[in-house]
Amino acid sequence: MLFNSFVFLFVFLPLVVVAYFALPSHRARLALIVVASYAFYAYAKWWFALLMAASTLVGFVGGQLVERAPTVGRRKLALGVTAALLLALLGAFKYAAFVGGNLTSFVGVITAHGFPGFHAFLNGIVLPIGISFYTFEGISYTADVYRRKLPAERDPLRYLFFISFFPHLIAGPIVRYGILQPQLLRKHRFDVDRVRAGLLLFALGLAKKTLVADGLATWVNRYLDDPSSLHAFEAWAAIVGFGFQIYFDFSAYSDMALGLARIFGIELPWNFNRPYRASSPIEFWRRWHVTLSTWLRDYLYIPLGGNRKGERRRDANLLATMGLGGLWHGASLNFVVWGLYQGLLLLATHRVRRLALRVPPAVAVGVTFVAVMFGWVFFRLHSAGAIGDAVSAMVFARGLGQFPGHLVVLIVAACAYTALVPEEWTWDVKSFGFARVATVGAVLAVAIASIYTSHPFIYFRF
Amino acid sequence: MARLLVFLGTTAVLLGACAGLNWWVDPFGEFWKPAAVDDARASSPPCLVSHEVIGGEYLPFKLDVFRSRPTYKFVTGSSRVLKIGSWPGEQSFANLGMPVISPEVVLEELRSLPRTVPETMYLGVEAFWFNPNFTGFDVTPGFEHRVRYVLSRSAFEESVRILRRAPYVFLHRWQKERVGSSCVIGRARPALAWKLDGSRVWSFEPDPKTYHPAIDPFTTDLRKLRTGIYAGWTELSKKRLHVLEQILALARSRGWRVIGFTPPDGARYLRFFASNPVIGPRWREFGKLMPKLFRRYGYGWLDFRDAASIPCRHSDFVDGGYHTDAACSMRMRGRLDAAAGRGLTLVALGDSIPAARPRECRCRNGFVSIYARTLSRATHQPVSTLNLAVPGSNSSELLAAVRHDPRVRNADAILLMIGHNDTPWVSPGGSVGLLTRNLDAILGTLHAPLVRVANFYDDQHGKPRVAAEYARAICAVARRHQVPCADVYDAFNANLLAPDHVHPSEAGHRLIARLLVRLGFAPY
Repeated sequence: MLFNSFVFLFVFLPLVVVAYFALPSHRARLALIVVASYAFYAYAKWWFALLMAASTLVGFVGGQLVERAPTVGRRKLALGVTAALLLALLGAFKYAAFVGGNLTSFVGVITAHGFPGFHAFLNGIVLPIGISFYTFEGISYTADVYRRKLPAERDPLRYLFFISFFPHLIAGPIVRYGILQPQLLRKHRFDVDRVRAGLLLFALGLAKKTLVADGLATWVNRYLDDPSSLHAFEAWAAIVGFGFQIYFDFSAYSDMALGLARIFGIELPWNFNRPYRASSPIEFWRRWHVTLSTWLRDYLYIPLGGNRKGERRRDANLLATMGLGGLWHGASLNFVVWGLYQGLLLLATHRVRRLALRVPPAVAVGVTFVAVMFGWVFFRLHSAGAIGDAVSAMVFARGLGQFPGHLVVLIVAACAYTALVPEEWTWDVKSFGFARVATVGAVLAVAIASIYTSHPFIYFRF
Repeated sequence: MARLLVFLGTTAVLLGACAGLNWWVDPFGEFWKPAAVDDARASSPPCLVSHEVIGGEYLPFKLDVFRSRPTYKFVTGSSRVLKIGSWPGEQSFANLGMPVISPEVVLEELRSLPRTVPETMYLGVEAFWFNPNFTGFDVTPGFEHRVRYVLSRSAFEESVRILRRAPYVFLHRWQKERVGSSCVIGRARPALAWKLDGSRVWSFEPDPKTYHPAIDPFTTDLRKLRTGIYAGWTELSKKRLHVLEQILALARSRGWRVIGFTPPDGARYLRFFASNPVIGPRWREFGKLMPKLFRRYGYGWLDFRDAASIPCRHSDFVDGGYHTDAACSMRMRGRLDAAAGRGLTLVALGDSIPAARPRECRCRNGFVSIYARTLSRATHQPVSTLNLAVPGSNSSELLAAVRHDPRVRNADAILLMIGHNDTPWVSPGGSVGLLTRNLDAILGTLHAPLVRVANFYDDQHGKPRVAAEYARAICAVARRHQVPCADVYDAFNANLLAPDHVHPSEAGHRLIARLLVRLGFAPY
């Protein structure tokens, strides 16, 4: 089920909210959310719910085993087995087609024999939406138990809630159990201010998605669906447009998730903080998809040795972390290239910092902006040919071309918005008066009316 | 709480206003408006109904057309049959076709028709229906679809555009307008309109100054050709074939007479479809399968893929090769009427034995005439006989003759008796093997619902053993094609020969006819 669907807005959400606060018992409310979340997830395909249940079972039992293991070696073993099982599920559904397809193509090139049947089988594998997110949540929980940062959860209902809670289920934020668990221990009374604040944040997120991100998507897709026809102006405008599209799209989803969770009395971690104002790639990753970047830092970069084992090892760790972070986004080489590109930007930042140059902040922000935007080429375009077309256009190898006025106007507006307006999740929506509340209500009406032509959230496919 | 109510209330009021306006104006025709069609009927002379008013509500409109007329004959199929209309003054014909229709929708439509009156159905079958990747138009949008529609911004913007152009829509959702010499129930100058028999009218027909369909640019890119309906067509969809069989079974259970046909394509498309490595095999398979399928249910099939067979010319296509104009469409109607109303056509193929020249057999009636009378009595239908048998003809000559003969292609019943002139004592060099191969090819080209084969008798001019071998071979080939075979060789004797000792006498012809009749008249 999608947040920007009528069945969610007019059936699912009202029913769940009313039922949640109508139930007197805290445990009954948790159970209601779990059941509703599984229904929410199974709405796309029923067997998605089974897969999530399997992942939840592995994580829950794994946490117990890690905690009860008598020796460090056994704890490590329990953690390793749990993480391997969780990653196996992810791998089977997300990466089997990618790895198998590339292997069979490679073997096919060598032996001159194709494997059409096997290829068809691999291509038939359906990626369950959200699997990357709840797999990472399960791993972070088990790793935190291993590090004794938190005790293993004894109550299966709370763990079920943690994994399946529908606001963050499909596209994050990636929640850590340490953040959620304390909030699950107490009953949340119906607080009209909190519910209103949650709804307002949700409405603002929906508006950002359907009015801004989708507006940009229409123009961006028009250019990037056929990169071979691009010239410099169009290519740059399309890629910068995509950079803003993905920001508004994903941050909108995060705002909606935060707003929805707030209705139920749960505060989720924020994900975005004006990333295009970053003055370096390092800062960019502290502002962009923060729950993923901190997850990668805490559960991949630091275990690999982080920066504790010398500069070369740090650089290798950074590239490995960012490359795998790229691969997390999708089973395709272009995402790996994008991740490695981001890793190289981070390495370059470390090198430049060592030079102790005095760069004016505006210049630093501008350079970072251009570098990050250029990286979106590898993210948005999947084939080497398309990437080559776009890059050659961007380096002026195909001439300037026509000035894409409509898209540039949208980009300028988006740029001004991100420069001047703080993230919506930081707004004090609780204190909004009647006029502002009515305005957001009107914006929500326009946003709902725009759902008919809405595009799917970009991060759903990850 | 007050602020929460203001927030939700503002949203609700604005969405309600949007929904109300979109429902009233209905800019894309998502709601069935029977009153508009009633207004068209009440006018004198009756008006056309603008496509703007009907929109995508094809199914209720077509069912309304069917029920509002004493319909005994109707055509259904894709947009390519929509120009097949009534003859002047005819009230009993309805066009139930719909754009982007699929067999599933045809089945749904037929199931919705009242089952009281036996009907004659002309079913326009499209080859692309059997492309598993082709998806038809959803004619029964659900509740959620309608909610999305009335709450959509694009519909709202279109509603506002219509209101600016035609402010009267605020009070009256449609009005009577004139397009050329026709009156149209609509709200602006329509590109398309519907007659009350369900057939379609381009606005350029009543008024040449208005919209004319664009020439469909020809492309060999299957993803773009005709909006991609042929793309990725690697097999005939078994599911869709099953649905077509359900349609034919439904028609048979209701006692309907059915003539299947496939609408024509422009010559360039025809060449492309026949030669394209992706479509070609499917195109040929479709051409072979349809007559067999219809024959299995006792129905006839007219293959109009080649426009010249109707006959229509290139200039009869309004868009360069896909949709035909009124004149060509009505010629199709004429062919369909002839196929439905003429009774059965019996074609006889073979040599001098079925030809039964009186001076040879000294008889008044050959077995073909006797069989035709019995067939007519058994089926309660008039039977017209086309005796195409040629004295002296052998199987090679017959094969060359039947391959491209439209009379054979459109026959309802075929009698075949050949082989006597293939014997070595008549044609030096003739052999059982050659006859078997030719007969095999001949039977492969015959698609009539009823085909009967008879072997020939021993006229004692050659070796009896060889004559027996020929007779057995003929029936063996027929069996391979699942065609019933009358064993004349066994039942015949020398007393049944005419005075020329070559051809059967009148009694001999009666015997042959009796043997053929014993094979039954299935599927009729």
